[in-house]
Amino acid sequence: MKITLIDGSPESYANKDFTVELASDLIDTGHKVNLFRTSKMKINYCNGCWSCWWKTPGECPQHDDMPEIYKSYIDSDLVIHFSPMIGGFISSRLKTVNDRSVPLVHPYITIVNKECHHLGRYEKYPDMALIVDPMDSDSEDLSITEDLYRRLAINLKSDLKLFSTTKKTKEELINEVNHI
Amino acid sequence: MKLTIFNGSPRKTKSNSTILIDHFYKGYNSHDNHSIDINYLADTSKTAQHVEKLNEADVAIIIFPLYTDAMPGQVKYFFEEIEEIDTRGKTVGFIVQSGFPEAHHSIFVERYLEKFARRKEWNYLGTVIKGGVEGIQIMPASMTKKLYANFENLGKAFDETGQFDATIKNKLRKPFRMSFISRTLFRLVILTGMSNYYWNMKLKENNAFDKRFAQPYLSDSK
Repeated sequence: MKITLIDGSPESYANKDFTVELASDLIDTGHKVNLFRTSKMKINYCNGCWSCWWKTPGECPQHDDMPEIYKSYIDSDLVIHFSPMIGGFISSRLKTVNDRSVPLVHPYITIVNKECHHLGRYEKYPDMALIVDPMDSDSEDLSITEDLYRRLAINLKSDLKLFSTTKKTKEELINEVNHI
Repeated sequence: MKLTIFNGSPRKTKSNSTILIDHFYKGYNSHDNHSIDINYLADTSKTAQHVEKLNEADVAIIIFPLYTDAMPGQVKYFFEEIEEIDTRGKTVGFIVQSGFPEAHHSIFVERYLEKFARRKEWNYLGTVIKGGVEGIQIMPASMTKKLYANFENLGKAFDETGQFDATIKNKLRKPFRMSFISRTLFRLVILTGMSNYYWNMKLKENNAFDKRFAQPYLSDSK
């Protein structure tokens, strides 16, 4: 599979090499992996300008490193998000990457699962997976986060195929990804 | 009682959240003239100041637009920064507004906010949810009259009781989901192309209508 691995952990996160090792293990099992360590990238907040919907359709006008992620994202079979749990949810860094996904969909509205949602812009969207380091979170935080990611996946014309934690060993995680 | 507002809209003063808060304040000030203290969380260079404002506040309302079914990144950043200070015992309420009409989109983050308030040991005032807010800046006054009156009444009741009025809160939560009839009607509207009127108008204003289905991030290798 072509995999985009987005590491949303902040600079201060202790287990710095987690995604580097995960990417390397995934490559060893035959996947093609693009790893994005967002703490080392320039990623601005979404400012809600909606230029990507009505000025430069599909294109975010901000000048930062997001286009690398967009291109890899749309070209992938699977996108794995990684974040330590901070305050009961993913990092603000990773949340910002999610906010910036707006250019990947179309402003037009359609009905999905009996609800309003935006139309897709691309023919194909990758499946999604989320791996978190639980840190100080409890099972309720994890369940809320999983639900919020299921909602994100609907918005991104995708499906959350895996929600897992670093409590699992690398082998178990690789196995879970291989079973998607 | 000192009420401090935190507006988490990435559009700051030009946001729909600002318009809703203006109407809330109108009602809140109908008896006395309270001083207005609004802090824009998207000014992330001022986060230390915002943290201090929360530290000083007795009562806070945090309002934000729904971004990918949760809080905008700037609001999450503020939540992370207040981890450093002891805010136990503060009274905090939330207002979440979304572009989509149904309140259902916002109930997942509502669960998070309730849990977050518990984590911080705040006195949680609840979360007001209002859908269908995108476009209010171009809607004719007849279409927004009820919405603004509800927010004014919400503010008035907040001044009188220190709570979000349950009846108004329930009114604002409608529609919770689209009924079979409204879905059927909406499908018909989609067929006429009318549902895209707002977007098409904006696309045409910007000479971008012909490029509306562009796929700029598609890989060249395909």
